[in-house]
Amino acid sequence: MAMPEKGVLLQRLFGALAGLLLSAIIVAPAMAQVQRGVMEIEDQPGFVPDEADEILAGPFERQLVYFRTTEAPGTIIIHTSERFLYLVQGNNRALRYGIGVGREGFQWSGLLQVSRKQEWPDWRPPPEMIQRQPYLPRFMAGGPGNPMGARALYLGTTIYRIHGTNQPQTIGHAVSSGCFRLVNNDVIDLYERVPVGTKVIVRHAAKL
Amino acid sequence: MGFAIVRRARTAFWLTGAALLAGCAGDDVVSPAVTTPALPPVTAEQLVGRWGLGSYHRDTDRERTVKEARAQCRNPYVIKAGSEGGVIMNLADEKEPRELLVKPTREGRTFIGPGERPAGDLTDMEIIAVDDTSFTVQWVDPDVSSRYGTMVYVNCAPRSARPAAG
Repeated sequence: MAMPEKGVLLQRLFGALAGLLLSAIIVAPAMAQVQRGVMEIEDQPGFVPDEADEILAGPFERQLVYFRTTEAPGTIIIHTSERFLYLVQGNNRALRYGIGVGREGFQWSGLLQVSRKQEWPDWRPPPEMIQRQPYLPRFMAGGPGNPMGARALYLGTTIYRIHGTNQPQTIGHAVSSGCFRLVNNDVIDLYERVPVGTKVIVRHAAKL
Repeated sequence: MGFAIVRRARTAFWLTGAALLAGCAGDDVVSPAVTTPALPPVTAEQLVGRWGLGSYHRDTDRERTVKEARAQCRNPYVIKAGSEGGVIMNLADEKEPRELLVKPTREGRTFIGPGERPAGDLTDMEIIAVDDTSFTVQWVDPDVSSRYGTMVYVNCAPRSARPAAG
């Protein structure tokens, strides 16, 4: 009979759609977890990404968020496990920037200050990278395509820096080298807001 | 090693002389096209050594890059002599070095690259400047050049240890 067959078909279609929806809900958090994973990628000196690739969407897009803290406005707080950098605004608000984190960034947590700032910073590949790629210049003057990106904020006298990147796809990941990186538009924005002497707090999620 | 300074003044002198003579003779003369000044001859021997290697994209960064490259003598780029009269260097993006030949052209340009390819081949680098302490190259391949910029090699040997100019 036509009607029962149509009803069965509709039921099956409904079931399939529900299944797809359920799968999407289950997969989405998994994809978000993957995005916070580790990306094995070398620096790419000279690579200039497409402008479209430098525009972040979703949680890693620069946005004003609710953020409770006792730190003063103007303080930078980095949550490495979340891959976010917060610039405290006051009134329980913060500007939140998506970041990529280097493995070195996991080795410590603490308190530093921005000691200096530089536009279009220079890049000196680490010795182990030069060993792998001996044709690399040992010094590369800053500019588009430089792995340090458009701006750098140096942290105390440490090797750690907040800098831009020519690899926007690394935002949200821990990469094999480098410190705290933002897409160039974001690091330029942060650079304009943050004076030398700004307090920077780096926090990791507690490990059980 | 002693490199002569790029002879821009000599090139200008001959161009001016040619124009004056042509004027005395009363004939119409088409001035020679302006070209990159010819470099003095460069030998493979002059490239052998330890070099601080830096790169830049903007000419305004050259002076600073030369200073920084000199500081990179703590991790020098070493160029050795090859067995076929060339030098052992890396081509762009190649981890293993190989023997490259110095390839001058009749127009006074000098390239460094695989001997089996003609001067100016896409895999070559061109020496665009030389002086007593450094030489500067650009990759012929525009993609490679855009990635690595202008590469300057600064000699790490003290002046007294360098062989006299030939």
